[in-house]
Amino acid sequence: MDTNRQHTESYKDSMQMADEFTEELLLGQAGTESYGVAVDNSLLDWSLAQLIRDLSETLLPIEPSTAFVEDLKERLIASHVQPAEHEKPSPQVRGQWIRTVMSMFTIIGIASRVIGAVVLLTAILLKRRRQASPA
Amino acid sequence: MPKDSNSFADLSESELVEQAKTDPAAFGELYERYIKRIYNYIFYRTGNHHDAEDLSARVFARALQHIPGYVDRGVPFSAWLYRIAHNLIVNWHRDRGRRKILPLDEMVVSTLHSDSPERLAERQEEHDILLKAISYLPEERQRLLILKFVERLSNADIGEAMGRSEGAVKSLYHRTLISLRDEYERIQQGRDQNAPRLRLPRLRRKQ
Repeated sequence: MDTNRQHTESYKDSMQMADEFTEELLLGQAGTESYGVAVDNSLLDWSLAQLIRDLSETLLPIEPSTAFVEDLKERLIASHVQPAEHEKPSPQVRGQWIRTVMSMFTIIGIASRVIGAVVLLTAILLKRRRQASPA
Repeated sequence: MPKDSNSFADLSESELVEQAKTDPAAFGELYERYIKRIYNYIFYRTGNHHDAEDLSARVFARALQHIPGYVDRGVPFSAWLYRIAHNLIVNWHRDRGRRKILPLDEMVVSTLHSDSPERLAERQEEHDILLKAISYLPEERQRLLILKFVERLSNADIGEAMGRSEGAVKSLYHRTLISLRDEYERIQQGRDQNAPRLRLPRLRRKQ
């Protein structure tokens, strides 16, 4: 139990150290070899620290070309169409209509069953009365 | 109705998105806010500028087409754009018909003028392996690394973009590092076994 708790605490510490190291590295305050030496190895695996450094050097912001950005913006704005009054309703509105129609069909179906049952019952009662009455 | 970017600065994102449904200038403002982020996300998932441009254009064309039906559910607008981008990237990989291996031709390594050619070659090799290892990660973990290292977002902002708490982001990040390290070592071991000699690649210096 104590061993599990120690592992959990060690994992949490490692997680926290990795996060702090990354933050400092990206802020440009870390990145010296001495940082790793100062860190207790049981808290941050050295291989993780090196991986974080490699990531910071590899995953660099990429600038799209200015021509591409401006050209795309012009094309998008030019094709931006005002919604017409008679345009097709949005999926949410269509969904609502479908649900309303289905509800109506359900009600009609239930009503027809009820009416049918009443008619059938009435017919049965009338037939029995005719059979019961003297000829 | 505000038409220039200065007036849009006072609008919240929700208000801007609502206005963008009918106002081209407002949509243009949204575009300017997110084009670099989406472009970077796609670039690191596809590995080249050509496809990054093509897919970025399709993301915003699709966003423009569907924004009239967009409903604010309390999630950042960028999350919707990232979802569109992710779906297009999945289709892109499927259409390419092979594993999600990044074509690394356009990946450049930042160089120090003092680096020797041998050291440059080593670093390029290390970067190539790292990028390949990243491409094998699940999409969510790739996105986390891109948001953290490329876009330099805080854990709180990453959490908002990914719909997770700050603590969950930290935990996911730690697990991602461990997975990435293991994947990196696996690829490196495979290369060490198969590669008899290191051939110096054609390097492109970052400008």
